[in-house]
Amino acid sequence: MPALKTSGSFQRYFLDGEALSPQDPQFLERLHEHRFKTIEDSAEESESVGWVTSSHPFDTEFTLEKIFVDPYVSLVLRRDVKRVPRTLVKAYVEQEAAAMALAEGQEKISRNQKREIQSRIEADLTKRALPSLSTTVLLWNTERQILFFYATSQGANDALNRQFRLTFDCGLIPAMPILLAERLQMDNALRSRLSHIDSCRLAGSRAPADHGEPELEATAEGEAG
Amino acid sequence: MNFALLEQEKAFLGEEFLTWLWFRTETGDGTFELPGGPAGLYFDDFLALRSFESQAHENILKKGTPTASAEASIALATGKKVVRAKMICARDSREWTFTLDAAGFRYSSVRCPALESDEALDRFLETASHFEELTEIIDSVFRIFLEERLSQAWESEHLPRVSRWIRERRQVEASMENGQD
Repeated sequence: MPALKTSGSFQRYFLDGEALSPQDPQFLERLHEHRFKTIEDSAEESESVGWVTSSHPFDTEFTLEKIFVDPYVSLVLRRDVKRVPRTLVKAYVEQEAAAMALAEGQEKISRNQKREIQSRIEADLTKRALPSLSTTVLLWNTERQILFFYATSQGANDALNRQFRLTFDCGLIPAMPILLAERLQMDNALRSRLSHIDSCRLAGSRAPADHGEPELEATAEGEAG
Repeated sequence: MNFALLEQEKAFLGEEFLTWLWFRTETGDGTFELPGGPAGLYFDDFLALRSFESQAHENILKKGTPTASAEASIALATGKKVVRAKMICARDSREWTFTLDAAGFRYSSVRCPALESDEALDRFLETASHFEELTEIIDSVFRIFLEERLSQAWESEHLPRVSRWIRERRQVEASMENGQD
């Protein structure tokens, strides 16, 4: 049984095309395929994105009971990121480069040797680093094909867009004003004007005097002097 | 489609909408007759204004009643439009508070009305419907704006009214400044 907070921030999306119905057995299979996979012991990967249930960030056992309350699907996108401090990498690289140069009787090591040291140290520190964990709820009205993603940051929304397309072979359209306007029921004349709409000046004067009445004319952008 | 670029290029539409909404709430009672029933929209205690042409200067007004401030009047008169606003939406006995970002229609710090249900399932459905209802209300008011903005009468009737409102606000502020001198 999914849960939902009564407060939060969100970006709304429309479905771009058709996605699987949650009742389709493939729906749960796709979620399982694109579930969250840990990177805790990984030396190569510093980021992992995948689905979990809203029961717990470690729960990737998807069942309809956990994710579906007709007509809503509720999923959680988990994103783990490992960050190794650049200053720490630099300090280790400098220490090891100096030791190697001394052992080889040289003033300094080659650029390639330094690059190899850096790669090895980054991998070692990445393996030892603990990831930061973030989870974001996705609420999907499967009747109206409208989705609410409870994060407004660019990074989280980019991760959602990639993961959603990977999982459901279907894109998401953000409900920004111009794209929302195209979806609202309007007659053809208005719709035609929407495609040519340009910014207009609500107040006519760019720089009115600090005192006295500003010159304000109701002019369209193109006509403003 | 590059959505980030599209949002940037067409940000003016959301900014004009929020500025028009401010005009409508200030010159009327803030109530809109909508398909799902009447709803009230009011500006709360946060307002950000910016010029679409010059993205450099942003006026952020918070606490108290920013829409009633002299700074807001001056910003409007210099061609700035609303880029973010904290708002209150009311329908029947229910009330939402939220901050709307004009360019992307992102909703932040949303607080939905108190839940009436006790059961977990009902609470989930009630919460989900609250989020949907809020966006439906804003969509419906946005549609009213578009019907004016895209009409033949925009430049001859609607835009002059908005401009007059901006001019009159500035005149009131200017006369108060002169009176204080």
